[in-house]
Amino acid sequence: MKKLLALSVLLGMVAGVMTAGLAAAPRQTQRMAFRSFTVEGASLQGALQGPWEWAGSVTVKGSGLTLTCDSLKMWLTPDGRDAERVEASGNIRIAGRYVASDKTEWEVKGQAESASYERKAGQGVLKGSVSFEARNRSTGAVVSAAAGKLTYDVKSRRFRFERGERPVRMEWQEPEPQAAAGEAPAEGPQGESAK
Amino acid sequence: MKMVDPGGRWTFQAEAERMEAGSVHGPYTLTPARARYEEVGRPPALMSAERAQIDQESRRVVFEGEVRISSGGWTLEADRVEYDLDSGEVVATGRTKWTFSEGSGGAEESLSTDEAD
Repeated sequence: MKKLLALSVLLGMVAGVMTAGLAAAPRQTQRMAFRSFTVEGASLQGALQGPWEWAGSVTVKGSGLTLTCDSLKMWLTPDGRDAERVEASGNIRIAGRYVASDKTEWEVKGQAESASYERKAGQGVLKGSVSFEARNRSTGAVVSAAAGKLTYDVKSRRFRFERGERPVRMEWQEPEPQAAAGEAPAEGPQGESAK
Repeated sequence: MKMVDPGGRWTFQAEAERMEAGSVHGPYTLTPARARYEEVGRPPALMSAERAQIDQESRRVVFEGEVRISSGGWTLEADRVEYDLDSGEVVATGRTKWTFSEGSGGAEESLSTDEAD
């Protein structure tokens, strides 16, 4: 049961970091952690109305989370106040602190080969050797996952791990036994995984 | 100074404490520079820099030094920005920082030199 809870929290974090790290909160869908973010890169070009393209050690920062990648492209909404679509590619790394919906704090780190977000579809996708690890800052419990693709639906808060013909791998490591940890389950996002 | 697209798509206005030009045809160097770019159907963009070189013939503007451009919900800070008024293409080099803030006011200020040319 505890594993299920932890898994649920992890999946929520993965999706939250991915979509939060890549885009501003869609106003008519789920609220994300980032209300603002900063992008830095070795080079930037685009048009005032977008799209904007960064290349060379791109870093996206906001709300305690940092996403780095080789290149990033962002399309804006016509009013310039939201991201319509974001594509990140090459050496995606995500790291930082994440506060889950149950208020638990986690140190997270993850990686993938590419990431994308689409506001209209309300989906964020991580692709290519997706791995993620989260450490509970209070209990020290560590949960990790590996897959080929992770899709998160912002509206429904549902997610899907896929790994082609191979099974999705999940691991849960309990910290050394100490005082009994609180058992109260928290409301995490509802998840499903597919092989 | 003010530039208007003959096709009526955009308007570019700039002001500065000092303006220099090699000839009446320019290019013009403005220090420090503030500018406003408006395109039909798009939010306005406010630009500022330590220096701006405006080439009326090619309709290109080069901003240098503490460049700051904001529009909609985003702000770009860079050491140098080349801007093509016709295509809207922006190339930023040197230190670049692009910040998106949901709910920010965007570029709603106006320039004082709306009629100067």
